[in-house]
Amino acid sequence: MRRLIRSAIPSMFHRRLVLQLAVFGVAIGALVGRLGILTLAEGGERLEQAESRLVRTTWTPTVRGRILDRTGRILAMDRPSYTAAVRFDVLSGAWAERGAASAARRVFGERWDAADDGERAVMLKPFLDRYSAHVDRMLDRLSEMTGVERAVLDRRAERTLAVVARTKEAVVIARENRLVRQHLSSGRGLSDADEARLAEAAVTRIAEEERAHAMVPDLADEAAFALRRLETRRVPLFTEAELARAVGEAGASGGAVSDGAAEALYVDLFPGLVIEDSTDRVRPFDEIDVRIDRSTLPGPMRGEGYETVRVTGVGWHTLGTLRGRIYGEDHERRREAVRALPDASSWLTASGVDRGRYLEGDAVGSAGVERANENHLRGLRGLRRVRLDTGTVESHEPEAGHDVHLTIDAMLEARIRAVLEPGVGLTTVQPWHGNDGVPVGETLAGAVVVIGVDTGDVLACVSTPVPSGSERWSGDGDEDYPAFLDPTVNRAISVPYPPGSIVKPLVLSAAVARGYHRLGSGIVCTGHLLENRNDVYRCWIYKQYGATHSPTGEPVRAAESVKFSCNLFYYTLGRRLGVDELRGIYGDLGVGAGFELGVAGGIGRSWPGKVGTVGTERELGMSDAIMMAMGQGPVTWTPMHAANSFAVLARGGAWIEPRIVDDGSVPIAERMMNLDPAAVGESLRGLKMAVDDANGTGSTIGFADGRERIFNVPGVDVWGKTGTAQAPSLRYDPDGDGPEEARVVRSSEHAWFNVLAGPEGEGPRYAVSVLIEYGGGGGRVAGPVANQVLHALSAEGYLP
Amino acid sequence: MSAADVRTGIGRVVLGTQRRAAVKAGLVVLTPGWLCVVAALALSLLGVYSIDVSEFVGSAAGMASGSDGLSASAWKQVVFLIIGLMAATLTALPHYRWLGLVSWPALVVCLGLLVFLLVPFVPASIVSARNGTRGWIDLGPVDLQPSELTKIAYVLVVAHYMRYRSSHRTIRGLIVPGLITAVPVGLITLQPDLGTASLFVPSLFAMLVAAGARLRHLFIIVACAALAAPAVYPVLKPHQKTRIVALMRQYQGDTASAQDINFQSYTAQTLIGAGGVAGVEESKSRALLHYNRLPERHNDTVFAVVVNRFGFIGGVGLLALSAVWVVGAFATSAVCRTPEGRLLCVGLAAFMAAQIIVNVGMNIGLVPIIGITLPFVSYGGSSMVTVWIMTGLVMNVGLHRDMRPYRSSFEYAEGDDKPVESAFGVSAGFSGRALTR
Repeated sequence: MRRLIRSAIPSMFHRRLVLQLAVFGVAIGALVGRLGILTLAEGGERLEQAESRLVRTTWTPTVRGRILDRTGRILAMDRPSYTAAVRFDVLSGAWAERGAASAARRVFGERWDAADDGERAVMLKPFLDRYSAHVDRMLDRLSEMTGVERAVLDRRAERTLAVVARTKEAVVIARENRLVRQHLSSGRGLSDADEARLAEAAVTRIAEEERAHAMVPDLADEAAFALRRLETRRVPLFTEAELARAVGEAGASGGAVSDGAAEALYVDLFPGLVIEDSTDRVRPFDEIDVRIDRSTLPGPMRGEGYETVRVTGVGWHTLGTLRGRIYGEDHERRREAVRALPDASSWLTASGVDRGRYLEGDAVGSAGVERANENHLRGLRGLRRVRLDTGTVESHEPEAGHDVHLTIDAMLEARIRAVLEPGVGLTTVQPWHGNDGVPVGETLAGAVVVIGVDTGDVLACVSTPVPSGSERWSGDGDEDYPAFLDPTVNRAISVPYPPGSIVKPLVLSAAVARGYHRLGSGIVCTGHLLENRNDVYRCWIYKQYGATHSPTGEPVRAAESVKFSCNLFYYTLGRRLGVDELRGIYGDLGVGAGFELGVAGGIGRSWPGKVGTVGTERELGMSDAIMMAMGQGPVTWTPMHAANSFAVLARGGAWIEPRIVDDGSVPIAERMMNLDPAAVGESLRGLKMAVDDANGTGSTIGFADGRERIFNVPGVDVWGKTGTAQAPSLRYDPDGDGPEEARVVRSSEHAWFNVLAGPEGEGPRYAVSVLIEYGGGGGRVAGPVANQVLHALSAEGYLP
Repeated sequence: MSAADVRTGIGRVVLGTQRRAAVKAGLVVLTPGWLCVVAALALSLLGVYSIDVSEFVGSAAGMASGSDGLSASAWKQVVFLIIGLMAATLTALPHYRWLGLVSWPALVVCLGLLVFLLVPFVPASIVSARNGTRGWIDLGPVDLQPSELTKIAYVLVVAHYMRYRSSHRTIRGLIVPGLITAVPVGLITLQPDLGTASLFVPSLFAMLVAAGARLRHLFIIVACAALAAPAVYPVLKPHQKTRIVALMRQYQGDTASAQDINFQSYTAQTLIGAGGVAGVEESKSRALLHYNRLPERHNDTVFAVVVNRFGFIGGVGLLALSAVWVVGAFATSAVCRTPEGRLLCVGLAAFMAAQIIVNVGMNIGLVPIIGITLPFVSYGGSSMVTVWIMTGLVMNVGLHRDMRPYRSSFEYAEGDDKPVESAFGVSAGFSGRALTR
C-alpha cells in the first residue's frame, strides 16, 4: 500500500498534502454528519422548539372555586392579596457572596485578579460582612413594615432553605440515577471514576433556587404598596470613609481604592424582595367561638350557664390543605384528567394548551376536598397568545373555578369540635372514666360522624385533635406530634378500629335474614361459651361480675341481647354463621370497599376497612368467626362505617352511599342489605332499651355520688349502642432511638357509642358514631360525647 | 483589459523598472489561488446576507414583509469586505519573497501589540475587555485585533524560517518552531482568547507535516499533550471550565443546562436543526433568530444563521465553499515550487481549516464554545481583513512563478538524514544536497 502510494505520488511533499487534505476531509465529513443529524433527523422537533419562542403567552389569573357547607356558608374562598417573597439566593447567602466578590474585584482591580485564594478571602471579608449585614437589615425592615416577627421570618427562611435542600437532593439523586441508567444502557461498565463523574454531572441548579419564596403571605395592602415603592430603591453600601476602613481591614491600604468606588457600590434596599400578586385562601370558619351549655355535661363536669370555647381549624380534615409547590405528579394527574375527562376539551385552547395547567407559584390541593376536587375547583386562566412573527392573537377570558358544595354543616361541626376540645373535659381522661391504661388528665384522640338517615348526607365528619399551628392550611407546619395524637390523621375515615359491640344489632338482623337465628328463640347466657373453660369467650358481665344475663335460666332474646350487649348471644351467632357469612355481612356494610366521599387522597382518604388479619393473612377459622360476631377479632372499620351501618339499619337495610360532596344529585338507595325487617325492628327496640331502660348498657353512668342518665336532650328519641373494643397496647419511643426504650402510652380499649336520634315519636333521623381512641368504656366515655352531639344537633335545628 | 495588460500592469507596480518580458515571465494568471478568491467572495456575500438576516427588523409586520435594505451591520460588513479586497490586492502584489524578509519585523510588531494589550495601565479608552478578553485596540473609527494580524505574521515567519531547513526532521529541531509558536500563543492566551490561540498549533503542525517532519515525532508530541491535558484543567479560568463541563453535559444528553451554561450551544443547535433540509423563509428565520435570543448570531454563531435560513443544503454549501478555499490553497501550494511559498500556503490553509472546523463544530455542539469567528462570514473588520489578506497571500504565491530551485523542496528519502560530507561541508538531506544553514 505504502509502495503503491509512493509510486502514485512520488513527491513526499505532495503525499503529505494529500494526507492533510484527507484529514481535513474527514473533519468536514464529521461536521456534515452532525449537521445531518441536527437538520434531517431532529429537524422537526427542533423547529418546534424554536417556534415555541415565537409565541408570547400572557396568563390572566383565575380564582379557585369556593367550598360551601350545606347551608351555603363559605368554608374556603380565594381573596386577592399580596405576598412578600425573597429570592432564594438572598436567603441562602449566595447573593451576598456574589456581591461581595464583585465589589472586591471592582475595588481592588488588578490586585484581586493576581491574588491567591487566601489573599482573596482576606480582601473579601469586610465586603461579605457588609453584604450579609445588609440582608440582615433588610429582614429587620421587612419585619417592621409587615408586622411579622423577625423570629417568624427567620424560621420561614430556614424552612425554605431546608425544603429546597431536600428537593434538590431528591432531584440530584433522580438525575444521577437517570445518568447511570443511560450510561449502563450504552453497554459500558460503571467504574468508580464514572460514578464520580456522573454524580458531579447530576448536580444542577433547580427551579426553586432561581425563584423567590414567600416570606409574608397575605400581606396587608398598605404594607404591600409601601414595599412596592421601595422594591427598586438602591442605596450605597458604603460611604467613602467606610469603604476606606473596609479596605484597610483587608490589609490593602495605600491608594488602592479608585476614586468614586464607593458610589459604584450600590445595592437594592430590599435585595431579592418581590411583592407578588397572589390570592389568599380564606377560611371563615378557621377560628370560631362556640358556647357549650355546661348544665348538660356529666355530673362531675356540670356547671352553671354557658362556656365559650374557641375552636380552630373547623373542617380541616375534610377541606384539606393547599400547597404552594408543584410536583411532577401534579402535572401528570392534570394531563391524565385532560385525557380522560369528557368535559376537559373546554380546558384547552385552540392550540391545545391547557389553561388550567400548573404554573410556578400555583396552589394545588394536597389533601381532602381541595385535592379530590382539584380540577373542579381550580378554574381556567385567561390567556393571550401573540404569535410574534405573524402578529396573530389568540385570546381567552379567565373562568373562575366551580364551587364545591358539601353536605357538612359548618356550625354543627364547630359545635362538635368544641365538645371534643380537651379543655371541655370530655376528651381528657377523667377519674370517673375508669381508664386504667391512660393517666388521668391525658388528652384523647377521637372522631365523630353524623349522617342523615334519609339522604346519606354526612352532616359532620370531625376528627380530633386538629393541627394547632397557624400554617395548618398550607401543609407546611413543622410541629412534631407523637403518633398517637397525630392531628393530621382523619380518624373519622382514615384509621381502622375494631367495631366492638356496636355491630351487634347488625349481626343480629343479618343472621336472622340468613336463617341462622329465629327471632322467637333465645340463647341462654352461661357466662362463657365453652362448657369446660371459663377463661375464654366470656360474656362481659361474667368477666366483670361473675354473673350472666340468664340468671334464672331464661334465654336472652334478640332485643335483650342488644340492650344487654350479651356476648354469649353473639358468640353463639358467630359460631352458627361462620367466617364466610360474617365476611359477607361485613362486606354488605362496606367493609373492604371504603366510601366515595369526594375527600380522596392524602390525609383525607377513606380507609376501606378489612376482614382478615393484618400482615400474616392467615386462613380465618371458627374462633375468628366467634369474635367477629361481636365486633372483635380480625375485622376493622372506621367511624364512617359505623355511622353508615346504623343509618342502613334505620332504613331497614337500604344502602345509600354516604357523601360529603353534594353534586346536586338526589340520593337513592343503591341496594338493599339482606336484613330481616322483623329483626331490624327488634334491634331498634333493643337499641332503644339500651339507652332508655335503667339496666341498658348505654343508659346511665355511675359516679361516686350516684348514677345519672347519659342522654338528656329533651324531646328527642335515642337509640344507642355502646362498644368497648379491645385494642393492642400502644408503645411510643419519643426519641425514636430503639424499641427497647419505648414505653406503653395507651393500653385501654377504644370507646364507641353509636346513636340513632330523631324527634320524639318520629323515628330515627340521624346516625351518630362517636369513637374515643383508648378511651375505655364506651358508655361512660363516648356516651357523654354522643349526648353533646345530640345537643349540637338540637342547637342547629336538626333536632327539637 | 487583456490578461497581458493585467500582467504588465501588475508587473510595473511590482518591479517598476524591470523589463516587461521579465515581468510577464514571472507571473502566472491561471493559478488555483483563484479558487480561494471565488470561494472567499461567495462566503463574504453569504456573510453579508446572513448578518442582515440576523438583525431584528423591529416588528411583527416588519418581519412579515422583510426588510427593504441591508441592516447597518451588514453595510459595515460590506465596507469591511471592500477593505479586505483592497488589502488582499495589495498583499498579492509584492513577491512573497520580499514579504518573507519583513516577516520577522512584522511578527515583532504584532507581538509588541499583543504585549501592549496586556499592559495594565493602558487607558480603558484604548484597550478594554470585551466579553472578558483584552483583545482589541480602539483606534477611533475602527478597532484593531492584533491577534488576527499575528496569525499572518506568524505563518510568514515559520515559512521563512523553515524554508531551507531540514532540522525539523529531528525532535530537537522542533524546538525552535515550537518556541516561535509558544510566544504568540502565550500572549493571546493571556488576553484570554483561547479560541484564536488554539489555531496556531494546527497551523504549525500542518507546516511541519508538509515540510517533512517525522510523523512519529509529531504523534509523540500530540500523545504527550493529550496525556498532560487533564493537568491543565485545574489552572483553567472558571468560565473555561464551565464550557468544558457544558460540553460534557451536552454529550450526556443533559438538557437541563440548556438554559444556563449550555444556552448558546443549545440554542445554536436548535436553530440549526430548525432549518431542516432547505431552511425557513427569511422573515421567519429573522423571527426565530431574534426570539430564540441566539447570542453572537452575527458573529461566532453565524453558521446557525446560515443553516437556519438555508437548511442542510445551505450548511453543506457553506462547508463546500470553505473546503474550496482550503483546497485552493493546498493546490496553490502543490504547484508552487519554492519551499517558502509552499509552507506559506499550507500554513494559511491550516489556519483557515482549523478555524472553520472549530467554529462550525462549536455551533453544532461538537466542541466547546470558544470565541472564534467563521472566516469571511462572521461580522468583524479585523477578521474580514485578515482572511482576505490570507487570500491575497495565497494568490501572491499562485501568481508569482518562481524559478525552479536547484532541488525540490521538502523531498526526503530513506537515508537522507545521515550526515554526509560534501563540498559544502557536513550536511544532511538529499545525500548532502540540502543546504546546511
